Amino acid sequence: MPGCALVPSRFNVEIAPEGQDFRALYNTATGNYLVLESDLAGLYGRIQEGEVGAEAGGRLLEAGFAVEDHVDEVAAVAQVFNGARQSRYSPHLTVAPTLDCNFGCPYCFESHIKGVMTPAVQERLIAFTEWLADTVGAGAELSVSWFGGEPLMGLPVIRRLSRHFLAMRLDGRIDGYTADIITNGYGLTPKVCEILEACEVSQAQVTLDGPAEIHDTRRFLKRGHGATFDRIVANLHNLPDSVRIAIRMNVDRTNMASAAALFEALEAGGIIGRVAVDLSPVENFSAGPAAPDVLSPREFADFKAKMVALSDARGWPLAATPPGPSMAAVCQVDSLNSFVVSAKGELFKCWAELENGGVAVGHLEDRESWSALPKMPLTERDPFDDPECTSCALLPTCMGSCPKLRDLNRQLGVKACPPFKYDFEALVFRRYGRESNIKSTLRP
Amino acid sequence: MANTATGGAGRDISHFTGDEATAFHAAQLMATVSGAKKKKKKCKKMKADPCKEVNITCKPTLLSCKPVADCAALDIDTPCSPMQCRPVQSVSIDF
Repeated sequence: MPGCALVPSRFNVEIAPEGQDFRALYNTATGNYLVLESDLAGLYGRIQEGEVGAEAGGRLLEAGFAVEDHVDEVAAVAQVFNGARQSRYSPHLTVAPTLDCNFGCPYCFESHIKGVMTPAVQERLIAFTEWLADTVGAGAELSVSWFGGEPLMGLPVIRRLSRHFLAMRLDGRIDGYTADIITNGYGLTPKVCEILEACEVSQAQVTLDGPAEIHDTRRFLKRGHGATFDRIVANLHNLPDSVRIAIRMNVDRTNMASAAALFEALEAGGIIGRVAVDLSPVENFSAGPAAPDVLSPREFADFKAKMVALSDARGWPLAATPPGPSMAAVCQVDSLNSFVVSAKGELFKCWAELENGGVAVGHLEDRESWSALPKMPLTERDPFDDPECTSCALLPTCMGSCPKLRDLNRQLGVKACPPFKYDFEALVFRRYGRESNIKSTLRP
Repeated sequence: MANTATGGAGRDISHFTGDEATAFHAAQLMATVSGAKKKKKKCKKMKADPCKEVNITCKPTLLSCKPVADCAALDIDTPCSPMQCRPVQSVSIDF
């Protein structure tokens, strides 16, 4: 071999559905998917044997399924992660206009507080947002997630801040603006939906924990434990077509058996054609052991696999796309210009820290704190400090998964991989099937 | 056959030392991240068959985590939600 030898990428995942004469590779660092036709299968076999030089690597080398044997792929991913973590990309803000809520969901981790963000805090948030955009310079795009509490209980705050953010775009201070909202849906009246449309909210996430008889036992009004399901489903029809609707079902042992019934209820409510449903496990965001109703990652993966099969058979809109590469950031924790802003003006790095015993990394009142973030477990996290993770083929996609959960689990002496680890191959095959999908090349 | 694996400096990667080759590989990976970010915007405008392209994960917040995780390198947005932190990318979903 005139050049260096090639070896298979350590981030290849082989896709070989049981009982089918089919083989493909998926690379978790590039997101590339390559069907191994006979010639490619032969070449890959020779690469596995160390018999191929870089000059003969062809498509497998170009697309990152094979690498030169002196490349340290884990170190390369670490360089991408650490480089991105120190870069100032377009800002993302999760803003809680209020921490009050009209629902009394027993599993919620937040302590609700009356009141909304004051005008003084709003002014500071506007100044903070302009500063963030300026740190990026030309081409900055702002994205905002309205969160809470129940954000619609702070609708005047959303309106006022949205006007400012949209004005920033008009003035050329930012190049783009997008917004979404996470709401319980109870307050989505026609008038409120008009306002959200004017605020350019393009996506609404609404939680339904099952059909009415289940949902109403888990997500009820604080006042009198009143039912909410029917009103929420009716309200979804008020959202304009410009707003995508994501239905979230928080799943634990007590409601997992009713997931199919939720889809049937959405069909009966005439809304199933407008929504996508995400099944999400109830997670333990407290410092203590998980409640017995919480599913383990493997249990949740098994449950979701069954629901994927059922949804495919019934044509239900279940979101089941495998996660892609996350080398630059798993979530806003890893992003220097992303923050969670509480109604009181505190700056956090994680949603789960809002009114949940979290430690603020800064405050809108303290300009010095905007750029001088303290070193904390979340901001200093190291996805490469666990040999089990660095030897895992899913590392570039997982990157340690949720930083908050990883930190909490470590405090409890627990290690938990995310559910997608347990059905990753099936999710990839479901998405790409028998067609190659090369998103990017590494050796053009 | 000519080696096509050359870097921006015009040198054949097979002539790099281990650290240089790793740095070169990292730079190539970083470029894929940027490319994916651009592609994501196109996905957001797709409306047909929403589920096919939907991925909800932790956003750099929670919906996929309740995602916006920044799903930087993804052609999918993952939002993180308060209950799951998977990202959303921060909370966003690609349709």
